[in-house]
Amino acid sequence: MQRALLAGILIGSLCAVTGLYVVLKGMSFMGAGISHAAFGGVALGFLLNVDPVLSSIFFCVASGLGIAYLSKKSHIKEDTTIGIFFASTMAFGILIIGLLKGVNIDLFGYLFGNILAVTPNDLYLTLIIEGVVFFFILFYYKELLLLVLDEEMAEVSGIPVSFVYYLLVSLISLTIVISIKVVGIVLVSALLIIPSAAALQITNNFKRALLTAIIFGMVSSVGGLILSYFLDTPSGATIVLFATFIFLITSLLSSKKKGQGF
Amino acid sequence: MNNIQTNFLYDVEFISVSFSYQDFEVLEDVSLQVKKGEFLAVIGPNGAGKTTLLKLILGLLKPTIGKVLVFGKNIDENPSIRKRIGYVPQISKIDYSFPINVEDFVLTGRYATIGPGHLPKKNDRSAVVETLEKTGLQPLRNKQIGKLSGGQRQRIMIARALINNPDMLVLDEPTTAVDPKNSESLYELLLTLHQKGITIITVSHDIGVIAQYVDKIACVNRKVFIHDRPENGITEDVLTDMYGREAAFFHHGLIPHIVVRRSSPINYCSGETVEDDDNH
Repeated sequence: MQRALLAGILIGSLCAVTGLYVVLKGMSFMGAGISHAAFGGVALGFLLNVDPVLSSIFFCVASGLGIAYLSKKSHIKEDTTIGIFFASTMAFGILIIGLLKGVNIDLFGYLFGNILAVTPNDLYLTLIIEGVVFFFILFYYKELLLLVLDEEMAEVSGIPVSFVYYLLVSLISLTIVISIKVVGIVLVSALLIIPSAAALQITNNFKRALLTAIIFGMVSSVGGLILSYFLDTPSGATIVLFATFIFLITSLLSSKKKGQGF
Repeated sequence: MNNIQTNFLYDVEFISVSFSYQDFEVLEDVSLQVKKGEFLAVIGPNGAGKTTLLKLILGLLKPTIGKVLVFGKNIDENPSIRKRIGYVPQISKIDYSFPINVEDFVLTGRYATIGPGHLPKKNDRSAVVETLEKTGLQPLRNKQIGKLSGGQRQRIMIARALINNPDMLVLDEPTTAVDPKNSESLYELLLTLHQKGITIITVSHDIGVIAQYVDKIACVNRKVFIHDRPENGITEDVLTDMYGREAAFFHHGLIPHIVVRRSSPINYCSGETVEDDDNH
């Protein structure tokens, strides 16, 4: 349980931070696409007999970069590209798992998360990834902000837009993969989006939005985890619903605030 | 001014430039020179290549044929040129719900020069204060950008472009979604900058107004035609004669496609604002 709480805090804050960029740049469908690619990555891990988390990291980052590259370079629309990746990587996973008859895979755990199954190794890896993601987000803070705010202006002023964009996609992919143990493939994009969306309801400042999202993310995962323990409900789903509850409250607060403005 | 080097003739020079988007030729054999300190208006119907022309100047697009020189150099090979150009995009390009206030928004104009891994320094902050004062935005500095009016949104775009004390300002339809009174004060601001010697290139739909401020007008419709500003003031007649109805196109002579390619020339001639769709 202690390990689960720690994982919750780490994942909650990590998802909130990258999630803010996802929300502001309108990349939530890409997030969903990348997380479903993880299914293919997990299956590949079982096939090659390596840690499914490691194989998913490579698979997801590659898928994320593939989506990003194709949407920039080809004439296919971004959501079409994502739709193709979304389904085909998932199909790839199902195919492999079908081939691996007799192997006992906790599919439900990967799809919907099982925070209590987090191992010490998972925790170390989460910590490393969190460190890497936070480092890049701080180092390229200004560049990422301008990319999300006004990509054309970023390019005109000489910021290496493509590099920063691919970096962002990689960071999002890493975040998603490492969060799957906690909330699962299907629900991870929710944990990515909801705390940030809630934070944006009540703040007008980018830095404050980041901090608020982190708090909401951590509160959701810890609160959801404790709740799921007492109610004996699935942890991933409880965490996501807890976050949704926070979002509803912030929406009410913000509409009330806006109401007073008139 | 950052203008150290002066051994070039033009701030912007197009040498037989053509640009094609896939198989569609957007600009054909364009030669254009903008001298230092000149105020140029770029007009033309929707889809005529105005935005493409700007993007070529800004280095966002590369010519299919020919050369574009900015301050006598190729922008791709000389990235340091970028900070001498202030760019003002169409105000509709931005999501105004973004959590940022006026002060920080203007500061983003300096992000590229500050560089990755560095925090804004004192002189960056003081450049913001100075620019806000110059553009009359000081009282609004703590406002979130979504709470600004159309005219104020335009002003923060200009302030962001001015923060590096550019030698040249490039504007894409700066008066779209701005009411006439604010448009006028915007043009007055541009005129002041022009008088300080800044080169200004602006795409515009309201040619009736812009003509009294500029030195030269470039009519774009796949090809580019340059007109000097008529000396004896702009009357309705002059305008109609120059750009109006069919007359304009006979005036341009050679290229009858100008008239018929799009259905919008009439709107453009009367100076009405029309949604621009040439964003490639």
